[in-house]
Amino acid sequence: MSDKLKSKIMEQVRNNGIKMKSRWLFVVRGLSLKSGLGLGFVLLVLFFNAFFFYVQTNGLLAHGAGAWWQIIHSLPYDLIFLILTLLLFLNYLVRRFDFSYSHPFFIIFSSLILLAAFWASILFASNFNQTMKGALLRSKVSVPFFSDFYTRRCGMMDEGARPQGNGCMMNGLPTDDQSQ
Amino acid sequence: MNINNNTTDEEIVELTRKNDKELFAHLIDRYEAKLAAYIKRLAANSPEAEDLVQQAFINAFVNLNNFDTDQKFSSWIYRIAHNLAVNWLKKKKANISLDDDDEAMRLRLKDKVDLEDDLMAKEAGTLLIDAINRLPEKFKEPFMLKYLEDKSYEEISFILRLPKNTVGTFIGRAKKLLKADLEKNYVR
Repeated sequence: MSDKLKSKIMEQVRNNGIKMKSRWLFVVRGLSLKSGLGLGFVLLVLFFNAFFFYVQTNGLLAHGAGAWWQIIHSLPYDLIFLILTLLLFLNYLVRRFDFSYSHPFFIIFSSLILLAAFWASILFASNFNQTMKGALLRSKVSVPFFSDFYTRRCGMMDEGARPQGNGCMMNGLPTDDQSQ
Repeated sequence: MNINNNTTDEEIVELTRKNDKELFAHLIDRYEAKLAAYIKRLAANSPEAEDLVQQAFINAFVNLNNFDTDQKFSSWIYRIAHNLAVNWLKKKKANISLDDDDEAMRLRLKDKVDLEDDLMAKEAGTLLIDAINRLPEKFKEPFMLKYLEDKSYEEISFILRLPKNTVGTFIGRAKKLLKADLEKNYVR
């Protein structure tokens, strides 16, 4: 088999029947993978942070532990679905990196969640959400998901308490009618 | 540059990528027999094993620019071979099954596997092959790579894309199961 196999392969190499893929192809592939991972992670942090903001502004935890049914009923399931989808996507991307096999799936997955939750809580503790909400209320451009989520769904209790206006009043934030 | 026994695989890869595609022939020389034996074991000596070996070298050549020369070429090409063989097994809906007519493998196993007592004494090789074939699938390949291909835990981890600790656990578990199997079935 030896010489036969070698000559068969080398003949294809000489005749360009098989060609080496360009180095740049792998460089571009690697960069896309890293960019995808970076972008996905940033989105995950934003989604986690949006989730915390939703819970806070809608007073979900104010119901107390006894009102768990109300809490479950009020959770933003579309956001939770987005977070889970993004986690699966990120997990798929991470698994394409060479380092990933050396750590168990559970470790990678939980590290990803913990890291995203950590950065999201820092973002949440900052003034980011108020600024974001204010900017989205003033903006004429609609950012998919976030515009509706921040301007209409976060702080629904406050909006319900308000006699008029389209936006929501939250912690003294400008609403759409106030800001115009 | 002259290629001799001291030239590493990684150096040959570097030269093949930069200067001379013909040098790839040296890598074929170095790995053909090893890969053929490995793939034949995985593919139960199927006649298609030769095609798989050829495909492994073709895939290696096509993706040569993706190989990181800080890693070991031998592990990389074994990984390619492993992926091809596993896909082939899936397609055939078959399991890894060692051939107990393989004399060389019998002797090798007898030499390499120390199950800590003399139950391996006489027909050890053959009995052991039968017992390996009865192992759960996930234990077979790490065990084969360790004892038939002489790979380290780190290399097995790279080839099978499993954490190193898991490789150690699988091999340890495989040895325990083999010992129990041989004691149950063959010790009088």
